[in-house]
Amino acid sequence: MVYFLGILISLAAGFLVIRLLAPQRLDPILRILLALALGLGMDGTAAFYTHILFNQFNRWIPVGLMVLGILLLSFFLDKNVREQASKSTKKAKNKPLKNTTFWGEIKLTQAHAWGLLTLGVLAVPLAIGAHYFPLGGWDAWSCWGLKAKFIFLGHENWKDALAPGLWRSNTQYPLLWPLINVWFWDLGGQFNQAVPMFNSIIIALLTAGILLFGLWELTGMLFASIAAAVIVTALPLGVLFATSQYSDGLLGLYLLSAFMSFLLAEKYDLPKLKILGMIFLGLLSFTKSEGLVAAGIAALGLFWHERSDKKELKGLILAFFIALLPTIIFTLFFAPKNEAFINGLTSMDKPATWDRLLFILAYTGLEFIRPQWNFFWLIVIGGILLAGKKLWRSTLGVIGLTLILYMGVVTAYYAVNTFFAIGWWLNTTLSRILFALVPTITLWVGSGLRSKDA
Amino acid sequence: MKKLKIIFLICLISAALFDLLAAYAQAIAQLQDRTSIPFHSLGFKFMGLENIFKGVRTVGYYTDKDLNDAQAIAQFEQAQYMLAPTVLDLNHTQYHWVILDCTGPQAAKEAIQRLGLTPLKINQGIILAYNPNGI
Repeated sequence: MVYFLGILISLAAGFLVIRLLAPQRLDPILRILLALALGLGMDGTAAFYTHILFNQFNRWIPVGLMVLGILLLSFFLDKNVREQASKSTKKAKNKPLKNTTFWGEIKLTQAHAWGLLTLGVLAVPLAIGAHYFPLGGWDAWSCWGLKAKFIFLGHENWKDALAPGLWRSNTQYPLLWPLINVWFWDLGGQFNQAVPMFNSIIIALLTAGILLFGLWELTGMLFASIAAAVIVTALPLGVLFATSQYSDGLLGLYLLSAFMSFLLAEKYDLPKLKILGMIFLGLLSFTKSEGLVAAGIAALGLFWHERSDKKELKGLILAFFIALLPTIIFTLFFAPKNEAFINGLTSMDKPATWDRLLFILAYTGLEFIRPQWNFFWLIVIGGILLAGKKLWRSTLGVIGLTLILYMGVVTAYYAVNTFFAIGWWLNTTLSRILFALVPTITLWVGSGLRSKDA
Repeated sequence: MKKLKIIFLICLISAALFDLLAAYAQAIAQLQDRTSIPFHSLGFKFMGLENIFKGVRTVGYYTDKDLNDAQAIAQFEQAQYMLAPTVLDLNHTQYHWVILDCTGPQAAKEAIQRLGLTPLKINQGIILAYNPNGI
């Protein structure tokens, strides 16, 4: 029960931010899904500033911060709506603008029912899978859940989680996913294993929903959008990783949400939605080290893409850095050095070799044809061939380049860091890295197939 | 081009249906699976120790198992998860409390004698010992 109160608080906070940023047309269900994704990130950020930065472990402080935020945002939105209503009354009496209500326009159609039904159908295997692995996968209890427990139960001693002896838990990794779960434990007043389990299901459904309703908004093709969301979520690997309580699901959600915001901003000429996109990129950077790399590449690409409008660009840079602040603070002042790193370029004992690089490339090639992907990459290749040049123009071009550069950086890191035996390392991590990219790849190809100018 | 797009759409919907059926088949298999108990965890044998370790920041964790073996390292990491926020210092025994996870009773007995520990509790092969000279 308390968990659902937490979801409501997160949803309300995210909803108010999105209403302030995008008062104009945006599908109501998509708005709610993006709002919850944002709200969860705000929970984690509130827990970061209170618990981590200011060392405050009274559980009501991060919860109160969110409630205070909701009150302030409601005040601003109400003021905003009143101003708009007064303007619209002056312009056209008896015909107020559709967006001058607090909630905005909410009009549900049969298509929404199909979309929601799909999410309901997808929720069943996710819930069963999550129940089957209540503690999640290996990295859930050895890394993400462990850090959350240290922060929530260890209070002032939470930094013990960063002790060199715990190097196996990737002590240098950012903390957004653990902190989101900590915020829910703060609200409930106790550690509860069900929280990360439920949150991982919510994140998987948010990813599916944002992809489904977003693609529908962008392409107008409902059943193709439903099919795309089903493929992404119901992949054998998709269900496995979604219920593993890893941060990769969150990485996938924020990367998708960021680019979705930009594509919608472009389609409906809603420049403020780009600010939302930048906030999502900031949150993405706090999910994992890989998220920071992806956020950096995507942000640079988008800044370059938006370079013609200097005023808008300043706003985007500011929004990105505000959302990036927890990552910067954590990386500079808290994160220990990566104990699982050997620079193969300088190491005599474990040098990076051409054979290692060739092995990585061959393994990656073979990964795409492994049966666990159920023809997914074949469909992607088909889509890329059909969409052709459209995929390399405008925002879609930035998405394509981000994906390529990100995989380039990941490959280089596999090659240079010779700490782990490469076969084992690729076997345990590569599919997870690709899994986090799958929603964005689907958005990229799906939008490209219907894009006119892009 | 239009025909190709229609073929692509059919492939997309077919793949979605295939994935969905596979996901449901997997879910049904998980529901019917009674051999690998869903709530089973290697870390459950450490439950209860968190009450003894209240306020203790670090305890020792001694094992003679091969840590390249996935099962051994998984057991250590699940123990760490169960007992957080107490840190388990792997193969360091200078603390008041030491957990022993040995390959057998004889190996455990030898380790206890060698390290000068006093065994207090045993649960499924896991021994909690006290180190009178611990820090």
